[in-house]
Amino acid sequence: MIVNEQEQFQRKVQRLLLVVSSAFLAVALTLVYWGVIRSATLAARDDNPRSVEAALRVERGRILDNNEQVLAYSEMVRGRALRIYPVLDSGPAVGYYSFRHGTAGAEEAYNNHLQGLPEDSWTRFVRELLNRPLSGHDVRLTLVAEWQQAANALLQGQTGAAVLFALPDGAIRVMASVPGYDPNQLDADFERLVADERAPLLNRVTQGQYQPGLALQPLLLAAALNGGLLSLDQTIVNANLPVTINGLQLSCLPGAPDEMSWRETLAWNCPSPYADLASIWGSEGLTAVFDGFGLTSAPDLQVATAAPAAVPVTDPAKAAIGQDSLTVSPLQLGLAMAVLANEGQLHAPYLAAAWQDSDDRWQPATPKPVSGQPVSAAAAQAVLNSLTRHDNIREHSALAIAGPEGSTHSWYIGMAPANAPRYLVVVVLEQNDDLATARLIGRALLSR
Amino acid sequence: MILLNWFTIEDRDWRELLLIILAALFVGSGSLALSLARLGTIAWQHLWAPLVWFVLLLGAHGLLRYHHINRDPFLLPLVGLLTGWGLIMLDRLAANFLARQVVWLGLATAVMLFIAIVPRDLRLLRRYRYTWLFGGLLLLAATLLFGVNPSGYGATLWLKLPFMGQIFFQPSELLKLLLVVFLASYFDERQQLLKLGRRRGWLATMPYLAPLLLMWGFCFILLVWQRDLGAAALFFILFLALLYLATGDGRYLIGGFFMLLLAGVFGYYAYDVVALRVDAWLNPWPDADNRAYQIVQSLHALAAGGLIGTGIGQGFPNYIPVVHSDFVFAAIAEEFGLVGGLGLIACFGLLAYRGLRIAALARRPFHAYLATGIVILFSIQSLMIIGGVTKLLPLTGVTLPFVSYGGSSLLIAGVMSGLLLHLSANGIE
Repeated sequence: MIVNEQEQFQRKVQRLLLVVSSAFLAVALTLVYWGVIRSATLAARDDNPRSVEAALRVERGRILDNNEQVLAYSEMVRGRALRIYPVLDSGPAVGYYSFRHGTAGAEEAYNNHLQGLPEDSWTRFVRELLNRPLSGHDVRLTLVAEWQQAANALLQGQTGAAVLFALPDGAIRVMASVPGYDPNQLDADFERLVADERAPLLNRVTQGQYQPGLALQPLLLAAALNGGLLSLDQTIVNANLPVTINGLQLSCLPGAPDEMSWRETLAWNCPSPYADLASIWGSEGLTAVFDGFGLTSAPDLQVATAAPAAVPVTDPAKAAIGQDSLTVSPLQLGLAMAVLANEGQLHAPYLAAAWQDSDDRWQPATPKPVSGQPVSAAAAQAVLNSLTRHDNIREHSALAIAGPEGSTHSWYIGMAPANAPRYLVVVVLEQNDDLATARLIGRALLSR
Repeated sequence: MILLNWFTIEDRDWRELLLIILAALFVGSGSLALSLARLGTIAWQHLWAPLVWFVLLLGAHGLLRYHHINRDPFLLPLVGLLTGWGLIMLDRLAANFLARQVVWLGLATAVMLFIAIVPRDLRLLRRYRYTWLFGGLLLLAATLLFGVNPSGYGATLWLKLPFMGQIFFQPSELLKLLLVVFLASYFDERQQLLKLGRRRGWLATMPYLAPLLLMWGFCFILLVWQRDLGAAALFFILFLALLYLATGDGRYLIGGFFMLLLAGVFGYYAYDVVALRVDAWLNPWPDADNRAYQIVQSLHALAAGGLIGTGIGQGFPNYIPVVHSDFVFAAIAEEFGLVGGLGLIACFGLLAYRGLRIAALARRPFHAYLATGIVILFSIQSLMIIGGVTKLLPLTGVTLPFVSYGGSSLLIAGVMSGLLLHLSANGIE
């Protein structure tokens, strides 16, 4: 080529290069646009499978029982975390974790902690830069796996619940609800579990709503004693009068005398004196008593609880024998009963004993403050001592009518040791009019 | 220390070797990382292909060195890096195609070396341009009649080679190369006439441009027939670039751009395939679960990469359908991050720069046109597919040169790299 022509040609090539380079630059800027500016927006979209993948890769922390026995752990299988529950019947306290069906129990209550959230911005930055999955921290529950398994064995074949907690602080050791479910098989069984009329997914201890019936007796007695309305040795005439509820006649247990002391009304399960007490208190007074024992508010526990009835008292006479609109969960009733052993103080329950922090150190749970004092220490102690004693257990049991069909469920509340109780158990059995079964189960649990 | 002395290394052989070693470090660590991410251990199944690649690359370097080919020292390392990157991505995305691709790589390397070293000049290419072109068109016509698709569905753009088992060849890839050769030779001959024509007015150029337009139109019709519109656009842009180089007239570029737009509008109303792609390009979001699924998933992959990516084997690019061929760039952006994606674009940019430099320094017009044509092919192809994957352009079914899975494409890329090496050796002092 002639030199002049070659220069001309080179200029054209240069211009072509300019066009091509600009095009490459445009493509590069587009990449920056998606990779940086729109990155967060795209990551949050529903049709981005990566959020699902990220959730499936989270290495959740373990859930341990009070003796550090593993109740739940995650294992990586082909890049995905599989949740395993080695203790059968770990129960509603542990709950379940399922990507498809969500969480329940401690898996739900401590979900963030188990996932390793919240994380500080630096940790998050480094983790996202290195594309590491979230890695959670362990939780140690107050639960005792061995006792939990025993409770499930005792409840076998029943429909109902049992809760056992320590006094005075309300550390939950057993939380059993039957029928239950196998959290390892949750995804496979879910349809069946949801369709099952006996509601195996329901945590009856915290979410079950039962008529309290005459299980309320010791509480009302303590409140009345506290208010100076009566003395325990005061004699009542006509204690055995029947009370009519929805056409059903309720009276004391068979063989009860007409005359007895207030103390004796407990063991004989006499309804009529309590209906009379209600007429003194009236709706407001009775509601205040229920409020004081925490029966009208959900217990302060991170595990899901049921919302209590909006108006607990519509008919005071019915309400005083636990057959009005007030319904309680076994946990609520247990906490209220614990007031008798706790010098009149109401404690909040707890389920997590300790948390592992981001440096793998265990941090014990901070104790919750006392949430109220419905009755004096003296009144509490007096009623506690009035409860039936069986071996080294103070106990109270009662039937309650559930629903218009007149089906009954049975309550058992027991505390041991008798003089200074350290454990309290509540058992409720649905469709059961035989106090003996509930008693047997409760006593067996306390004897451990 | 070697790096510090970089600018003092004058010898092109050593410079090339150093760059090859850098590329090998990148590809090697990529394959180790993939093995660790997949199996938790270093396994042969992820190492053999990069090793074969490295041996081929070293062999190519050795042969070029032995024959004292006075080549551009950046070309071989760049081509090597891109093919190596493509291999580890293929291993990661669709490992069952890996062995076949390695065979093609061996073939492509052999062809590249043959073309770089053996011919004394490229007169044969220039002289028989019509033969080459008609041969290519014949092959293309054959695919119209006997074409198959190896995956059993979709556009039938492949020919099954006889006596070779499950080996398929895509004639449109060969046609790209043959068209470059033809256009380069044609413009070389007609350059003077075109220039004269321009001085006498627009109409006067028609007698010279008419056969060209006819030829182009024929390609275009064939390709529209096959619905391979990416290739059609590619051919046309190639033609425009060379026309500009021959005439120096920017009006051809602008006019051509409008012709392309017109063809696009025609395609939009005439073919559902085109309409679908354009709609998915303009607004993919409402149809993200259905027809725009691929592009939306691709954008998700780009967004997921972050700055340095998830690491090879640790992202989720497999949510993009056929990610290993058309969408390999999205997979790279996810797993190597912004750094990797920009790096890859820079590689193609550098390849274009070195190629155009060869064109500028060429001593024969034919060589300059040929080098430019090859550069334009590589560049437009990579721009079209990266632009498509990033939603800058509508999607066109072209492959990312050197990187995407595809034997025919790799083989032809090998031929074109060989030509560039050959041209650089003869052009640069």
